[in-house]
Amino acid sequence: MTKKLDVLVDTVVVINAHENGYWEHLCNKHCIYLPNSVIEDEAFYFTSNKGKTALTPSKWLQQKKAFCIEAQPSDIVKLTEKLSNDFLHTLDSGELEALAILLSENYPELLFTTADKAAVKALGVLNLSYKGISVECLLKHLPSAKNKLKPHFKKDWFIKGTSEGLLEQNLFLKKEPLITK
Amino acid sequence: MDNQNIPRRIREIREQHGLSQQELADLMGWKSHASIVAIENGEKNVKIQELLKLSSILSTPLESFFSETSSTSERPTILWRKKAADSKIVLREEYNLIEYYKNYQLVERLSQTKSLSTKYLPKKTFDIHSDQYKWVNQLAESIHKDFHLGDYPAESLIKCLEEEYGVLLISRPLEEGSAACYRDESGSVIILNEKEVRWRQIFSLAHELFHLITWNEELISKIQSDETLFNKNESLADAFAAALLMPQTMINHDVSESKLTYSFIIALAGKYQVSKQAMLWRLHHLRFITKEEVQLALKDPEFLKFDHEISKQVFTATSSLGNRFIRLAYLSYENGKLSKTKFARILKVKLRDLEQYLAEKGLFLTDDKEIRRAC
Repeated sequence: MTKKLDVLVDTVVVINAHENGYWEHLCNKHCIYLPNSVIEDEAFYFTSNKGKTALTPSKWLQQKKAFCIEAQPSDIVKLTEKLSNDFLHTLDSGELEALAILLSENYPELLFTTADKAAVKALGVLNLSYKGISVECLLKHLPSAKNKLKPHFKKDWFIKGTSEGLLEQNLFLKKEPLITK
Repeated sequence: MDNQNIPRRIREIREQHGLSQQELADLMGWKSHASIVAIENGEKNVKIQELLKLSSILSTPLESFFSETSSTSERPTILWRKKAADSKIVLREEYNLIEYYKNYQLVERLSQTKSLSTKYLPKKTFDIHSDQYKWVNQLAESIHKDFHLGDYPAESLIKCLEEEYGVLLISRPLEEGSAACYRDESGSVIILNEKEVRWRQIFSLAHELFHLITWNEELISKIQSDETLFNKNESLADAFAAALLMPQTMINHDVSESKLTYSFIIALAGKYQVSKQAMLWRLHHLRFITKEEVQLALKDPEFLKFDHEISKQVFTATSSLGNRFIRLAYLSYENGKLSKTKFARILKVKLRDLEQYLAEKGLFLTDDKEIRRAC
């Protein structure tokens, strides 16, 4: 039996999981977490052949299908100390909160899944590539869904994105202060 | 979120902007100022999404809310042609404008490539107390030449300001006859009235361009406290707009051998995309007709009933956020420099409507597939 992974999920993946019918699988096979700002943000929707359907994260929490994590101020401070102001503004609150949570030492087992290139690159920029996981890897027991994934949800694309982030560290990380003798 | 510095810093930054608690609550889209009071008193924890919104609205780096020391963050001065009577609306529009402007600058930096770089808008100084109409005409002539506005300045002006000089053009529903602009050391923005017809907006664009070129903090504070000077500056801006959109040499050429009939003047106004009234006044200033003739025509129902097609058109030359802004944000997203949720937020579109919104602008999400160059 495979060990359940603790996975922090971003908005784009939640929407895609509903559109492609693998949300239940994710919730059953893994322990799913959502950043607090994703839950508290405006209601989000997914599109199916039945039209637009509202998603209800609060219901998932009640049913214990998913759990909520809130970043602590010290985590956000740590993030703002590391990243340039421009870079902070390239991401939305859900992604920033997720990165702040990953930077904290409170959830050492937690992995972050996203299909957003900017967020994947951010993992590389912050040297957190090892804390990221592609949707493809999370669906290894569900080949029917795995085979239909778009490139942004695949492992290769994820690795490429984090590598690009690593290369762009000098652009987006705040400069370390020089040590004076 | 709980941090000892946050409540104090929010209060300090709000006060630096000269905002009341209620005004800040309005900008945040909150019904009452109770939440701001509670946050500033440390009775309510501020959430990360609220802090990001504050950071964006007040153009203040996120880290400033955590720092011990006070950084300077002041309310910017916007130059309005005509302010809305309701100060709440003015405040909201001003902060909206600055938020768009800061986001525009962000995507400009993120998508920086050689082909997308822009020139610095010229800056000119003048003495508002002396007669400046001759100087304004000369300025319009030199801008027309330097900006390569050609035979149809109205057609080229929008494209030139957006693409060559990187001016952010926004259209919003404003009071009748209103427009506004803002310039700082790194760029400029013009806000037009989306309720106005195309020719009126183009005239406003040229009018606001005069303010941007002559932008000077000292001049702005002077005209904002002296109605006579304000009106004079507005009149100079109108003269500049008229001279820029209806260049003397071209009008001379068009008019020299033609009969000045109503239909000719209306057709000429259509050619230069200005109102027939503006064309009449321009012909008067260029000494083709007398002031009395202008006034007679403007009272004549026969003349007033004419309406060139262009005045019926809605403004489609730029979208509400400016074509360049949308394109740069799109490129930033496609290049993985902006997250999708942030992209939608910058465009003020709901995530679910993003693809449809882009499709309306002729843009599509492509996963940034690359085409190989020919060897």
